[in-house]
Formats: sequence, structure tokens, C-alpha cells
Amino acid sequence: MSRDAETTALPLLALLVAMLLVPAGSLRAQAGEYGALFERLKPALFTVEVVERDSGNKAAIGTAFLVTGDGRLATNYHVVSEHMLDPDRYGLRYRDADDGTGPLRLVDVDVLHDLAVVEFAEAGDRRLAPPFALADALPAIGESVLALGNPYDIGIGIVPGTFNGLATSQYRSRIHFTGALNPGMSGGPAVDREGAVIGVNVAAAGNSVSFLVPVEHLVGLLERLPEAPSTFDAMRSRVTERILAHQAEMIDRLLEGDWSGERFGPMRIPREIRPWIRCTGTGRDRDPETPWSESHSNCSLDDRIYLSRSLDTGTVELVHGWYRSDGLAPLQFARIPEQTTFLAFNRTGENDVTDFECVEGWTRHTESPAWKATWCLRAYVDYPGLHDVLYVARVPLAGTEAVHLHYTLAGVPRDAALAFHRRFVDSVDFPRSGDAAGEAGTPGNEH
Amino acid sequence: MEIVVEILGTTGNVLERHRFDRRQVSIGRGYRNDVIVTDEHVDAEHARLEVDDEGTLRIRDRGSVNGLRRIGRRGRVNDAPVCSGDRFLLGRTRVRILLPGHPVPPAVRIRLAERLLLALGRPLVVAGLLLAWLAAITAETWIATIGEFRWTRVVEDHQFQMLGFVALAVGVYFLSVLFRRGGHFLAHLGLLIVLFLAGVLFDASMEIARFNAGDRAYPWLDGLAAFADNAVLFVYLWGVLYLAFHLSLVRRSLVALSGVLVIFALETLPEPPAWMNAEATFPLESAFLPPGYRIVSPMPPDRVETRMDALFDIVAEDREQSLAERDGDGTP
Repeated sequence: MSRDAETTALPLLALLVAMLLVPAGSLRAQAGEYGALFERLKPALFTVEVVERDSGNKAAIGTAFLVTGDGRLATNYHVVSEHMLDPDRYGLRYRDADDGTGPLRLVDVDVLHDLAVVEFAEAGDRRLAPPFALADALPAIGESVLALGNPYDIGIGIVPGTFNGLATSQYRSRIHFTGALNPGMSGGPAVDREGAVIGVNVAAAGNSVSFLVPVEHLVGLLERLPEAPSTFDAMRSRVTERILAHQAEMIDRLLEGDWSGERFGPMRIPREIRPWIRCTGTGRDRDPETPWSESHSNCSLDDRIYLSRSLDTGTVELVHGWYRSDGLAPLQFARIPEQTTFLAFNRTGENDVTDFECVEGWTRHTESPAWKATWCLRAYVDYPGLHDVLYVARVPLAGTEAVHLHYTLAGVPRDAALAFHRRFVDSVDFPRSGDAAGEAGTPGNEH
Repeated sequence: MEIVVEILGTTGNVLERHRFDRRQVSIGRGYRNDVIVTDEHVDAEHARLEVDDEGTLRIRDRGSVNGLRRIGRRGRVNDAPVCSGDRFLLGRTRVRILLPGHPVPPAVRIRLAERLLLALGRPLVVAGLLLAWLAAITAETWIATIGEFRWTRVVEDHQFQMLGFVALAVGVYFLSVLFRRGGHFLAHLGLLIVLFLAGVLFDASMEIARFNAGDRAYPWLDGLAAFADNAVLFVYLWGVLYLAFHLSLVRRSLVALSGVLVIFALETLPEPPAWMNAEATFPLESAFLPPGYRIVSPMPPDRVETRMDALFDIVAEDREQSLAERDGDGTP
């Protein structure tokens, strides 16, 4: 994607200011050190351009780096996704440090970890720079790491930062890198002081919180290259197979997690089933204009698998809501849970998925009160076997109290979806009021 | 000889009826006539009815500007024999000549339906119905405002209903006056209130039905709601045709039915309504009431799961269709 040049000035300026503030001695030492390293690594760094064939314009840019002696480069899947999904419309080319360009060929992708391997399509008599070394182990927390890349297509640059271990909120391992990654640096390497690659630049969460794909996944992809698919169609169906297997495994691990409930209003609900499921709570007390209180427990896995510019998947969301009022008549109160609407959690384009088809009706699970549930399903048009699931159940309780239960699953196969549903509805427990009167939550914000 | 002269309205209704026992009857705008007509297209002395020497009744034009015509035939009439029931046009005025022996149809019995319609016209009944309707819309507003009830909200939320109410009542009254049928205004008002009240009660029972229903029942409930709309229209037309226009049972049933069919066709032909496809789409209805309003027994979880499982095959078909549509677009 071609970005506006003006937005790039700010981070660069900030970097300059930061460097001026560093004591002069260390600045000289670091500058010298990074300078030599950068000069050594630069010939193995390339800009990847996705070119719209009709207009000849760049549709996206990223960074790639040499990883083998025979001219294979690593980058992000999201940099080259348009080429893989629509090769007739989007071509792929590189640009090196001397502004030399040529076509690239896509070798294989790992959509789950957002990695891709490309090679020079006309590699015949090219003199290749030595490839990047891949680190055997991750550095210690706090060590300096250098991210390389071409931010906003203004030229290959170097960004110093800190290694902060693996991010725990993610299902697929990612390195937490403190340093400013910017668009265009995607697919570039992050190296330790010796210049060995520890990860691949992949995403920024703002305020210098950035993420790298650990190099082990790149090693894995390189090892699988001999069996890389030879056609785009085969590559795409391989992607579907791998997502299906990965998501089935993820749901399995979720089902084996800790579903023991915690008290939430009149029920017990699961919270952080796995460390990578994160929960937040929101609530609102009654006030004169809205004479009821409500609380929500919102747990999610927000680790998205990028599929295309309009489509991502892999998210999980569990939401429980609790409504109550002591001033309203039951008929008036019933209007309140009716007003809450629920949407799918992942991002989808109009043509990526089918419309939702739904089943709705009253049901009852074991000792629970009866509830009215809607279960909706849609299929991914380009990824056969993958589905999004949306479940909403509204539970009217005696008097002026009600509860809603909700989950969404993005990108799940049939069996995993049904198994998750069973686990979810079984996990909701309404203890009889006498059982746990002592621990009953007080209305309001309890998170 | 006895002669009956009727002045008719545009729909064939009788506006005036005169009976004479003499051999000559004059019709015109002049004040010396036996039948005085107010139509400006009629001459002062326009026509005369006479019994001739052979005892035959004849009609004669007395040299009028716009002449004398038989209704339904071309050409002026100067002097012609008249049979009982013949209709003539004098200027713009319709006149029917009858002889006293002319047969009349048997009296129409006042049926139960008509007695009920007429009973709606009793002042106490109208007042009672009005109170019941106001109570119903107040209750509706009280529930919907969730603790913020104000009396003005009742008017705000129902102003179009109230405006429609007044417009219909006044409109039909003026129509009946215009056609000189002398409609039964209070009964018409009572009928309107009954229908509005039935609408509120029907909505409430639909809420309960939707609260109990599942996805399979929604298209049927939508169909029922559409049917109810047409039924209300039918009852209204049927009642009004009696109260304001005095049409007989069979005739007003036919007219009301054709009115409903026309409205239904106008609504349906451009685009079939969703309930006709018997297909529920997302998001579904989510009417919500206190648990006591649940009448249906909940489905056992395994039956829900069977239905969920079947949905996978349905979306697989949707997916095939999306792929086929995409190929059909001519994208390479």
C-alpha cells in the first residue's frame, strides 16, 4: 500500500531527538557499532513491491531478507497476500539497495505465522550477498534488538529496540519487541547484536509496542520448502488445510483449559480459560435515566490470522451479561436485554463469507432455567470447511433479572464448532440461590 | 292515473320521490312545475308527462335548451311513450318514472352482523370502546418507555394512529354526505375504535407469539401479521359500505373483497414480501418478555444440536452459490 509520506516525518524526528538525549559517549559507540552492522547486512535486504499489473502501480510494499545461499528471501504473508490470492492481477517484484529491480516468485507461505518465502524469478547471473544468519536461541529479556526495514518506502533503515520475551496474550507465539515498527518494515528481520535473525517484523500495537514472529517459525517454513506446492491453487488449498488443523487444535486446547466457573451475578461462568484468553469487565449502575444496572464479562482471544486485506480469522470471544433492576415492572424490564445486539468479532468483506444462517428457539440445559438461543453460522467462500459461529442466548430470570450468554468463533471447522458449543453451554451454571448466597456479586462494577 | 317521479343521484340512489294522481305532471326549474328541479341546465319548463287518449303515459320535451334523453341511449327524445321504470336525463338531472304497480324487491332482513354494526353507534358503547383503546395504548407506552413514562408520550407515540383515526372518521362522513346517503357517523366511529383496539391487542399477542417462537415459526408469524392487516381492511370496508353507503350484505362483501385484493396486489406485485419466501434472515426477531409468558416447552439440547449440525450443509450450499455467482460475474 502506498502510504502518505507526511505521516512518516514524526517517528523519524522522534528517533533523532531520542538519539540526541543519549549521553555522547554511548551514542558514538552505538552509532559505530550499528553502522558497521548495518553496512554488512544491507546488501541482503530488499524492498518487496506488490504491483497492480494493469496500472503498474505499487499496491503494497514490505521488506524481505535473504535467508538461503540460493536466493530465497523471507517476508510476511500479509505483504504478498494479494499476489497469492490474485496472481493475474497482482505481480511481485523486489528493489535492492542500488535501486535494481526484478520479478519475484512466491515459493511458499505460512499464513498462521504470517510468513512467506519468495525467490528471484530471474536469478541466473545475479551475484548474491551472503544470507542472514538465523539465531539458534532467543536473547535474554532486556537485550538490544535491531529491526531492519523500509518504513513507508522511504528507504531501508534500522530501528533499535529491546527484546521483551514472548507475548503471553497471543495463542501463536510472538516476540514482544519494544521499538517502533512502521508500515513497510513488515517482513524485515529483527537481529541481535551479532546480526543473527531472532524474528521477523510483523505488527505494531502503537507506542513502540511491536511484535516479531519468532525465527523458529521461519526455520520451520524453510524446512518444509522441499514439499512446497507448485501452483497457486495448491498453495491456497494448503493454506486452508493448515488453518483447519490449527484451529481444530486451538479449540481442543481451549476445551482442555480451565472452565471452572467464577461467580457472576446469578450464575457461574468461565473466565480466563487459558492464559491467552483475556477478560475485561464493564458495568453500569442504575441512574435516573436508565433505571437498571448491567455488567458484562468479556473474554477474548484477539490473535488474528491475516487472510487478506478484508478478511481475518482465528478470534474467539465469550461475553456474559447480567441485567437487573428493582424499580421496573417485569414487562418493562424485559425490553432491556432485547436491546443488546451482537456482531461477529472478526473482520470480513462482503464477498469473503456467506450470509449468516441461524437456528433459534427455546432450550434448557440440565438444571439451568430455560433460555432463548440463536445460533448462527456462515461459511468462508474461499476456504472450504472454515466457518464463523455466533451464539446469543437470553435468559429471563424471575422478577427483574436477566442474563445473556454470547460467543463468537472465527474460522473453525464443523466438529470443533459443535464441541465448543457443548462445552460453552455446559459451563454456564446457575447455582440455586441458597448455595452461594454469601458470594453473590453485588450489583455494579465488580471487575 | 297515479304517477311516481324520482330524482336520482349519480350512483342511482333516490334523492326525491313524488307521487301524483292526475293526467299531467310538469318537470322544470320554474316554480309553477309539479316537480321543481334545481339543476341550472334544466329549463323553466322542461318536460311534461301526459296520459294520452288511449291511456298511454308519454313524455314530451317542451323545447328545452339541453333537451330530453333516455339514459343509456343516444339522441334527443321529443315525444315518446313511457314504461314504468324508464330513466331520463333532463339537463344533468336523472329522473325515473314509475307506475304504482311497479314491483319492489322483498324487504332485506337486518342480519346479526348488521345489528352488531349498528350497536356500535350507541353513545355509551362508543365511549366505552374509546376508553378501552386509550387504556391499551397507555399500557403499550408505559411498557415501552422503561420507567420514563409521561402522558405526552402516549400522544407522541400514537399521533399518526390518532390522525389516521380522525381523517378516516371525518373523510367517510363527508363522503356519505356528498353521496346523500346519510351515514351512521357514531357507528362508524365505533367501528374504527374497535379495529384500532383490535390492532393493539393483536400486536400484544404477536409479541407473545414471537417470544415463544423459534426461527421456523417467524415466517408464519409474519404471514399471519400480513393476513391480519388485510382482514382488518376487509372488516373496515365491509362495515363502512353498510354504515355509510347502505350496500347489501352480498354486494358489500364482494366490493370489500375486491378492495382488499387490489391493495394486496399493489403491495405484493413489485416485490414479494419476506414472509412469502418462508426464509428467516439474520438478525432474527428477539421479542423479550418475562419468563411467565413462555408457553412452549424448551427443546432438549440434542435436538438443538441436530438442527445446528444441519446448518453446516445449508451454509455449504450458500457457499457453492456464492462461488457460482462469482464465476458468473465474468471475473477471470
